Parts: sequence; C-alpha cells; structure tokens
Amino acid sequence: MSIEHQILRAPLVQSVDWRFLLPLSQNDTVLFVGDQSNELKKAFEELGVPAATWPTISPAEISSDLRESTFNIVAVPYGMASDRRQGQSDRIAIYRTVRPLLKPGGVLLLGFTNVFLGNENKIPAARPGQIRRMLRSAGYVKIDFYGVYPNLMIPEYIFPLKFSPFLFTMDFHLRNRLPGTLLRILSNRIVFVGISNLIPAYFAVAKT
Amino acid sequence: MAASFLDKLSLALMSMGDLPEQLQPEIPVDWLILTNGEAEPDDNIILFGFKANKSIPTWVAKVPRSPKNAWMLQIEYDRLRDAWQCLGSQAGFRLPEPLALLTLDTQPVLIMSYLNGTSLLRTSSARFWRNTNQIRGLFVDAAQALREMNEHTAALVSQHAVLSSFLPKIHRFQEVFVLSEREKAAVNEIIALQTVQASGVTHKVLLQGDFWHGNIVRGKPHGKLMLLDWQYSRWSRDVSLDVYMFLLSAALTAVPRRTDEERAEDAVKILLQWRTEILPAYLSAYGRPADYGLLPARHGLLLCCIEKAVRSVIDFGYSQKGDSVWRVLFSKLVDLSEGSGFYDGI
Repeated sequence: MSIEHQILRAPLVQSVDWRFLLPLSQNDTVLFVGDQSNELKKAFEELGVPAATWPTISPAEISSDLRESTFNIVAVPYGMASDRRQGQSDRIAIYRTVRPLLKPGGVLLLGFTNVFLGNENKIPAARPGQIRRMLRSAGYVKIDFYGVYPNLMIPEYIFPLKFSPFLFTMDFHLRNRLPGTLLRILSNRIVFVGISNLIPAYFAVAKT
Repeated sequence: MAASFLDKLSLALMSMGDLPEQLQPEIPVDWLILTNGEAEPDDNIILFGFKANKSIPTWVAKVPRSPKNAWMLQIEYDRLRDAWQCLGSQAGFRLPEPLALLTLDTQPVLIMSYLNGTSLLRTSSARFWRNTNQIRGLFVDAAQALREMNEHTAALVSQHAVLSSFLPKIHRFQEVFVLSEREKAAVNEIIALQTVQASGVTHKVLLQGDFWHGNIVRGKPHGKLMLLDWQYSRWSRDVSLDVYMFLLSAALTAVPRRTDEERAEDAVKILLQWRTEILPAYLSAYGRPADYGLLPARHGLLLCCIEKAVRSVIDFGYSQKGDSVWRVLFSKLVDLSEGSGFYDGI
C-alpha cells in the first residue's frame, strides 16, 4: 500500500500543512466537509483547533445543527470525493451551500487534482480556471490558487502560482534530476504558463 | 479582514525596523511552503519568502509543525546569535542571519536570511560518492570550514560555566538499548575518556550539532561553505560530535538504502575504503585543537552513533525514521576488529 493511500485512511498532522494558507487564529472554528472529515478533525484537535465535520457532500443532507455564519474556515482539502460522478451543477450547489456557513471574512479551502491525473482516489479533477468559474458562480469573490506537489495528501511543496516562487520550486526539486540545460530552457515565463497548468494538484482559497 | 498565517508573517517582516537594506521587505511577499510531507510530526516546516519578481528567496521562516516544539527554534535563534557575534564580519559568509523569533497566534516562527548557494546534498549524487578526488575535496573543504568556525567561536571556559554534556545521552543509550559486554565496555571507555579530557580543556566552542553535508551550502558567489540548521547547536568543550558526524553521515549516504543492518555494514566498508586516504586528509585538514577537546576516532565515532540513536527519544519521546541505523552502526564500529588497523593512529 502506498504512503498516499495510508494517509488517505488516516490524515496526520504532517498532512495538514495547508493550514498556513488560512486565516486561522486561536478559538476559530473549522468545518471539514466530505471524505476524511473525522480524521482531519482529529488532526486539527491535536493542534488545538476545534473542528466540526460534515462527512457527506450532498447539499440535501446538510446537518440541521450547522447554522449560518458559524465557521471561520470550511475546508475540503481532499476535494469533494464521491462515489457517484458529480457534474458542475452538483459542485456549484455544494460550494453555494457551504458559503452561508462562513463567518464574514471566512474562507473556503478546496483541494483538487489536475485533469491529467483523472479522478484517482475519487478526488474530482479540474483545471484551476474551471474551479474559479464554479466558485464565482457560487458567490465567492476573491479566489487564490496554490500549486501542490506531488499530491494533496502528503504535499512536499505548496506555492503561489507566480513565476518566481514556481521557478525556485522547480529548480529546488529538479536540479539533481534534470540536466542543467533542460532546466534553464524550462525556466522562462512562457514555459511557466504552460507548466503551471500541469501541476498535479492545487488548493483554492476562496473568500466571499 | 482576517489574515492568513503567511500574511501575518509578511506583516511581521514589515514591522521589523532594523533590517539591513537587502532584507527589507516590499509587499507583497510570496511564500513557498516546503512541507516535506513525509517528514515526522515533530519536524519543522520551511517557508521561503520572495520579494516581488525575485527568483531567489530573501527570507527563510522555520515553523515547527507542533507548537510544543518552540524550544527548537529558541535554541537555533540563540546559538545563531552567538555565532554571529563570534564570527563578526565573516558571519554572512558562513551562516544565516537570525532576524526574529516570534509567535504568530500560537505558532512560533524563526525568521532568518536565506543562504544563496547550492546544497551539498544536491551536488553529491550517487556518482559523486564513487569519485575519490571529489570526496576528498569535499571532506577537506568541510574540515577547514568547521575548524575555522570552531576557532572563531572558541572562548575561555569560565569557572562556573554550564556546558552541554554527552553524559545524559550516554546514560539514555544505556537505558534504551540492550548492550553486549563489548559495547558496555566501549561506552565506559568513552565516559572515562571524556572525564579525563574535560579536566585539561580550557576553551568551549559552538558545536553545530548536525554537521553533515545535507546541512551545508556552497555559497554564491563566494564559494565558501555555509552551515544551515542550528537547532542542535550548543556550547561544548569537545568538537568530536561535529568532526565525526560528517564522516559517518557521508558513509551512510554513500551506500544503498537497504535494511539498517546492511546499510551499517556497507557504511563500515566505505569507512575502511576511506581509511587510507580520505580519512587522514579530512582529519589532517581539521587539525588537532590545543584548547578544546577532540576524541580519538574510535570514541568520537561511537559518541556520534550514541547521540544520533537517542536524540529523538530524548527530544520527542520516540524514535524517528532513520535513528535505528545509528544503533546498528554503533555495534559494527565496536566490533571492528583490532586487526583491521582502522583506528590505529587516528
């Protein structure tokens, strides 16, 4: 069994480093949605942050205990994993359903894999542009994207999708794996635009 | 509007009024998070901070995954400040500059300058470890850099100075592991030798504490070796830990990653290969200190194995991945036959 699959079964403190992307303060409350919610809740509680869970991803099954303007963060770091195929309208409905649960200034964290990876581990794949459009349709205004390598469960690098940090990350990771000349060819802004669409996974941080 | 941890980190940089010009931030600062996903829960996360349109980071922030490990940052910050004071104008060529130790919400953060250069871990591929000339060159460079650092930090030991001692680690090693009679005898030799040696030592030096090629960067553009990761640093009368850890870590890196038993066995074979040329060149480049202690190779190598085998147990209460090979290596080094001549004269 790969490490990734082990982590999928039991997220550890190591696998929640994306928390640094979030406006998370002491006594803030977090809601985890979907697959692995209970395990993520435990990982956060180990860090001293209280969390609630909504293990299902069906908007129709939202718990009546969840009230509007309750959470500082709604986190779906492993995406909206589902046994059945979800269309865009299903996903927009979920994003729209969780939005009122956020306190003013709260954020939605959403992890998703790139389309070229397919829907491995049931994590839906998408392009950042598609996610941006869906989140906007659901009422989110400011959306920032971060590249994630090699995967969402045990990321090694999380970086803003900007040229300089991306270039450094690539050099840091590949300088011992690729010939210097190839690395230099890859290190320009035009190639960056192409490669930034080929990153294995992303986090979106969306504000209302 | 609530700010993320990364935003707060940028704001903290902005509020530091006394930064040198090259380290002064301009908003926005972009942060790359190096999480080392498979690392242990008690490890640190590294954040690289970039000025706009700069492809080389300007700052490094270290954050322990678990806030309870703030003590690690405190040690690193305090010892880096000590080292900067000792090295004076040379410090910028050898060490990151400690800028601040903060708590953002409940999360401790150490902010340092970024060392621009190439990590020796990245330049020493499998092919590197098959080239004797390259290995010797690296070893001599490392030994000279370490000695220079030690000479800069060496200071008279005051009568009431409380310095780090290896004894608690040795005692923990004896508690945690079942030792053979030969191993027990070797441990007792180290204790006796350290006690005798300490009485004749007049100076203390700043140990880096984790001196191996993974924590060394060849700086650009000056080409000098620069040292990272000072969280295990401390003042000591004896430099054996740094001098011999470099050798053992290199030997363990040069062999394939198999079982602990096989790795330790192979590392000892490598050390035997290095014994004729590389080890003497390394030890000679470091030299023999007159004012602070350096154990003979047998005891110094064993001392490193002891420290590395129990360090995580002492610090975190459990063994981390990779610790157990040091216990096995200890055993192999104790058992190196006297007929091998490995320890003769070193």
